[in-house]
Amino acid sequence: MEDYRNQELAFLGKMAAGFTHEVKNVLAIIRENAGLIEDILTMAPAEAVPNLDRVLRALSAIRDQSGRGVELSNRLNRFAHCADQPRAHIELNETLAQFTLLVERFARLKEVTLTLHRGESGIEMETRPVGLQLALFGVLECCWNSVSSLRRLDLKVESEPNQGVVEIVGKGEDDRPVGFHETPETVDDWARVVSRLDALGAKVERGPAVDVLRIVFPLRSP
Amino acid sequence: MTDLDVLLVDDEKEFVAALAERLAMRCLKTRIAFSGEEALELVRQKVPDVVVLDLKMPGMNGLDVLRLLKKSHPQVPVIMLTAHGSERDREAGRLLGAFDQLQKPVEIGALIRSMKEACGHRRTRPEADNGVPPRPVQ
Repeated sequence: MEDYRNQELAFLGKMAAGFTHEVKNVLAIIRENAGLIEDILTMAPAEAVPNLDRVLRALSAIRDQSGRGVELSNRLNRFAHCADQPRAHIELNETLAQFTLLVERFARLKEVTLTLHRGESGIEMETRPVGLQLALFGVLECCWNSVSSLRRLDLKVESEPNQGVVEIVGKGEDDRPVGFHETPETVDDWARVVSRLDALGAKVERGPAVDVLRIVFPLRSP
Repeated sequence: MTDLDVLLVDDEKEFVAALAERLAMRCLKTRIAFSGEEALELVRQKVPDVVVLDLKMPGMNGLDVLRLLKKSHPQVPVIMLTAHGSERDREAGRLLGAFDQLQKPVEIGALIRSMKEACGHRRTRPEADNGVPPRPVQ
């Protein structure tokens, strides 16, 4: 059954990665043609093109937005490739960097700013990349769904003997600490999040301060 | 005018047509191939100064074309241009002798700089350095 699930996941990843390739080609065509129009206008005598400044501004917006689309496509492509192999060797900082870029939109919708503070590099782990990100996302969701005053979440990557740690620090308005002392266990999904962490051999710890949760991952998940 | 001869190889016709036109506005001579097979035929007819080659194409892919090109014309520099190349693709391209590997969409100035470096000369007009086409003389 697990093998079948892995195949499903890999299939989903392959399809998504293929589509990001197509999307990027479309964006490249839009951008190249916008560039061509800009070239033609730039070469024309200024008086020959009415409202040249406005047209160039519009072209600049097309270029910027296509660039944004390319970046989003890159993120989705990298994420889709996480499903290539059910287990893989990852570097925790790199995975968290990609993860943060992917989920910052979800945080933003909850009016929470998500910031990653990379730790020392070289935290190599053998784990389930999709499972790790799914579990982390579950924890973050529980945080921002349970603490309405939350405005900022800082993710700090740390290395400890035989384990990699993601420390989650929550702040409210004016950087006041928000208490994780009762929450996020109050959220219905918490039990499911804990079981996802269990499946990775990971656990969630409190503290040392009230606004800190620590997610502790083994370097080699079961 | 420069006599730099660029061969663009890409199955995305609208992309490569716009790119060719922009390079032409910067005084670069371009030829276009929409497939690997067509590219090899154009090289056989006339050897270009530099080839800009898409990685993912139907039929013969970019790495296949690169392999054959480097076998028949090892002196011709090849710049790989791709939407999403994997690390494995990049390594394969490097081992096969690609001069550079750029991601789509590429800034035209960056592409021209890479082509000039690949050719090891500065035969294009100075205006082409920053990717801005020269204004016509009034």
